[in-house]
Amino acid sequence: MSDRQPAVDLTALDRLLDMTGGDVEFLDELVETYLADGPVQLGAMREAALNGSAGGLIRPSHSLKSNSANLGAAHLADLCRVLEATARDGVVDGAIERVAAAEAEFEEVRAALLAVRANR
Amino acid sequence: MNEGGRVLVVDDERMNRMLLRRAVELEGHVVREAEDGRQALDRLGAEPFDVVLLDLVMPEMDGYTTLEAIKKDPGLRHIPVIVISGVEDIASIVRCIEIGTIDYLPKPFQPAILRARLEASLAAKRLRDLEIEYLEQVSKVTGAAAALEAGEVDLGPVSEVALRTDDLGLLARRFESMAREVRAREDRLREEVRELRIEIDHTRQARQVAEITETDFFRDLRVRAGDLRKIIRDDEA
Repeated sequence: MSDRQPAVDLTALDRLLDMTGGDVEFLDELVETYLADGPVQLGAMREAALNGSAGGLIRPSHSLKSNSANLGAAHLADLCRVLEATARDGVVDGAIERVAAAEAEFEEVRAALLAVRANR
Repeated sequence: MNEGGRVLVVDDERMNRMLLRRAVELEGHVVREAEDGRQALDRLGAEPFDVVLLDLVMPEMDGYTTLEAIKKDPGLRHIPVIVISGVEDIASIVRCIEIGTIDYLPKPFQPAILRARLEASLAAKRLRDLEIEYLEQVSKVTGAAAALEAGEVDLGPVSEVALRTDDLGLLARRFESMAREVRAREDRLREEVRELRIEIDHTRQARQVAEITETDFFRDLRVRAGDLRKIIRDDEA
């Protein structure tokens, strides 16, 4: 647990801030959008995993992967990448456990993002 | 510095649209958004765009289908499409290139690479637009030449081309002045023909009068009229 990378790579957030012309409000809006959308995607992933639907797993895993990568949540992006790739191969074995791992990681990411905002 | 382009961002993810919009607007371009392929095609049909930034995994109509529809449409196929996607397998990239994407950028995109690709695409689009405009204006000059041959002169479309400062503009100005000369010559000829017609009418009338007055009947009438006038004068006296 302690040797793992931080849930959010702060340099990615700096890069985003730089890319958006230093607009902190815009970055906050981006984070809020991510935090609101994440549970929706995770819910769809859980439902698909429980139903054994590989096809149903692809889009939400893909979306959460993409959004997480944008905000520097590399580990969560990786978990979603595996879920998407296996789903594309039609594999749903172990999907429930992977979704559970993604849900736990999302909470880590949420805490990290809120901490960044609180410490600004 | 070139003026900004019109960029259509097509992505079902709000976060991606927000990020792309901001990155593209900071470069001075105008951005419109679409949430899926169907919306994108509607927007493309409603207003002009210079570049499309297209996601692949979308509901309703995915990026592949959208790209195919754009490349099959003669009115849209010249618009450069840059695919920006989190789909990483080589087969997808190859498929997009085969359909006609000008470039493929992975997500999360690198702003510097996006900027470079966008500028290159906009430059290509501007060149293509100039080429289309040039061909349209050549067609206006050739169309006016064909009309002139058919006896109709409408210099309106050519006058627009004559404003150009290049060789085509010179050609249009020459054509315009030649066409005006032709028209003036035709007008002169028409006037001459009209005058000639009047002259012919006068001659014809004179001849008809002569034909009547030179007959024995008319001569006899004139003698009788003279006699009558004499009788009237005598009576009055």
